[in-house]
Amino acid sequence: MLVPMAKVRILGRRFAADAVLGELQRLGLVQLADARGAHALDGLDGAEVRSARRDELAAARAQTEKLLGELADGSRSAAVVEPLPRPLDVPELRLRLDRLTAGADRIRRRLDALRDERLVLPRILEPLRLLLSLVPVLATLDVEKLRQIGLATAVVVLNTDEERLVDALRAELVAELGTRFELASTRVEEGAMGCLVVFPAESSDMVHSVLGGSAIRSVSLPERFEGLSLNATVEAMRNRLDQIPAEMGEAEAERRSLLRPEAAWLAAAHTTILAELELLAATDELGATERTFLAEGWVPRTRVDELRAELGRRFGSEVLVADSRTSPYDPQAPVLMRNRRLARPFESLVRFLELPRAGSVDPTLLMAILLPLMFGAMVGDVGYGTLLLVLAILAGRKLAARAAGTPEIAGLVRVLLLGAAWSIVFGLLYGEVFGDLGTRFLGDWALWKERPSAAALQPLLLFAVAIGAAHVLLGLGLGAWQAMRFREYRVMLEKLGAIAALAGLSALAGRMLGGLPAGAVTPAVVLTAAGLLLVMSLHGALGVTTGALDVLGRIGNILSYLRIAAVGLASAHLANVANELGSVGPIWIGILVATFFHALNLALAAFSPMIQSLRLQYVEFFGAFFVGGGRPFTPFGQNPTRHLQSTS
Amino acid sequence: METGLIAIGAGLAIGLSALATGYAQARIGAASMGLIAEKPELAGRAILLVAIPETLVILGFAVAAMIIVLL
Repeated sequence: MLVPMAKVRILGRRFAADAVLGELQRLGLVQLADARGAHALDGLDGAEVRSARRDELAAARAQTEKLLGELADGSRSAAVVEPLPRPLDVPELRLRLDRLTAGADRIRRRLDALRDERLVLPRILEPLRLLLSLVPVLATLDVEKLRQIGLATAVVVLNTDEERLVDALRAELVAELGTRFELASTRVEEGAMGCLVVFPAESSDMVHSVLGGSAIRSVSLPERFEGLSLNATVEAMRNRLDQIPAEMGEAEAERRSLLRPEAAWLAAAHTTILAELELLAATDELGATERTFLAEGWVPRTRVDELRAELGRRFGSEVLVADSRTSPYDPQAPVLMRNRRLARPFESLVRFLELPRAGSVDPTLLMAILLPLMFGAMVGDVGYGTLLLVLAILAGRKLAARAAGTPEIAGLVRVLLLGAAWSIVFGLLYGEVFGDLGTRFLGDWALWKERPSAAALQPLLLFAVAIGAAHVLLGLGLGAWQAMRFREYRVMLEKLGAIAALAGLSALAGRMLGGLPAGAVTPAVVLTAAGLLLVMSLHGALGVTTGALDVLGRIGNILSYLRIAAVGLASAHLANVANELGSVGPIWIGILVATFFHALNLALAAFSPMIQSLRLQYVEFFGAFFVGGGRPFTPFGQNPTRHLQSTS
Repeated sequence: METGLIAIGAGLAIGLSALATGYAQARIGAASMGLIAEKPELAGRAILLVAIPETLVILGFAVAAMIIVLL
């Protein structure tokens, strides 16, 4: 359910405003709204001072965020951080942060340089290595020896696979140098030709201008490798590449030794900065008159008295809390979902789509009941259900032990757990244990019908459609009730019309299948026609078309539940195929083959029915009533990042 | 012969609708990935949009099942 919210106004003496805000932040009960703007009031004095402090704190926050980000190495613990004493001494805080930031920046630059070197060196090394074999004598001469004999070298990479570009380069060099150069080339990688040019040292400028073309990548050696022979350069580069990981490890260790001792302080500083920034923002939202201040905000209705009592205890009659008695369906109200423990993990699955609008129907409980049921109806196998149950229990324990994972994952694990239980129940109805393995040993033991049999197809399809009709009609009923509460009577009548039309059509289908007496036909036709006419009349001038399409869409929604039968049948047939293949050939090969196919089917059984049942909830069920667009309830003083985890 | 034609009809009903669903989901899926890259908070909506064309293949399944059951 959605917790009903009350809009409260808190009035008090102007001089007590800071203290009241501090208390509200400590209590963490109220989501503050902009009282100053809403009532066209003046703000509290000191806006410029607050603005300057906010700038200082924002800069400090950026530093703590960056430093905490550098500590994010997976070694976090779940300890709650105690904030620093307030108000923060910002200059002192910045001094300490600047020292840490300078150290961390220096290490980061070193790490970046090492990473660059690790990326760049192989790109130079590879062409050089391949070119060495083309000029074995030259490769042994260092720069000094080359200079003594009046020669210089240049290595370039052409971004092409085509030999004719090498020939073109050679022709250009011939035009400038005649025969006074040597050019060796080889393919160094896909789309790149490496070239080594040996030329008279006095022609260096001219050669480099020829080599400066757009399709040419010059390979300039890093400083540390200058002056070596080509052979020595390649060897030195290889050694350097071997050294880089160790140097990176040293830099990481240095960073850890710099930041880890400060981790708890950093987390505490960050928490305190956020709290101060939150307080400054809240102060700006207060309205003020000459002698009083006004704060406005939202509180869970059940906690208004608690708020009043807490402020009364601290400030006595100096502060007044007034409930402004807004409508419980006020769309401006923030939304807080609170459901029973069993259904709580499903809240995240509802939020995953969208947060419901304030005052609307919270579908969490219904989703907690129906989503696993549909999952189970699709899987419907005692063997798979048992395995999924074990997997879900193990996954749940692992999540609980690590106190990690997103709420969505926790929700999916709960769906898997409950869905596995329902799978066992439906498995008993369908008589399936790893497909027809149970039937092979025990004979026909299904409590209802064996799914893959021809006789079961029609009842299975009807069962799926019946679930769909009930689910969609339930959604439409909720939609009509909700529209009535929102005083949207047109929407309400539209939903009621659709319910009538679908109920009438369901009755007619029941009659066609022989489930209802002949006397039911006339009321069913009347109900269908009345519902259809009601929907059409509410759709205006184009109602004949759009109204009919609306009802047709609902019928499509109901038929969409046939996927319960379709996905289930596919799973059952695949299990039977696994058993059939397992019975061919020697028994040990059979067991291996059957195990492989059952494992594949189990993986599909965990994934596909989950997606399909979620879709049935989101599209077909929610589509009948769900109104999204809610704003989450974020009370002042309960900043989500307030309880930062410390690093160890 | 008649059984064969029934089977072909049922196969066409589900096969063609599956192709249509695949085509629609490919287009919507590609657009959804772009949407999620820009606005990750709309992932739920994106999944919902990708799931919508599946009704086509389910209706194809319904028609195939009716062909098999009723003929």
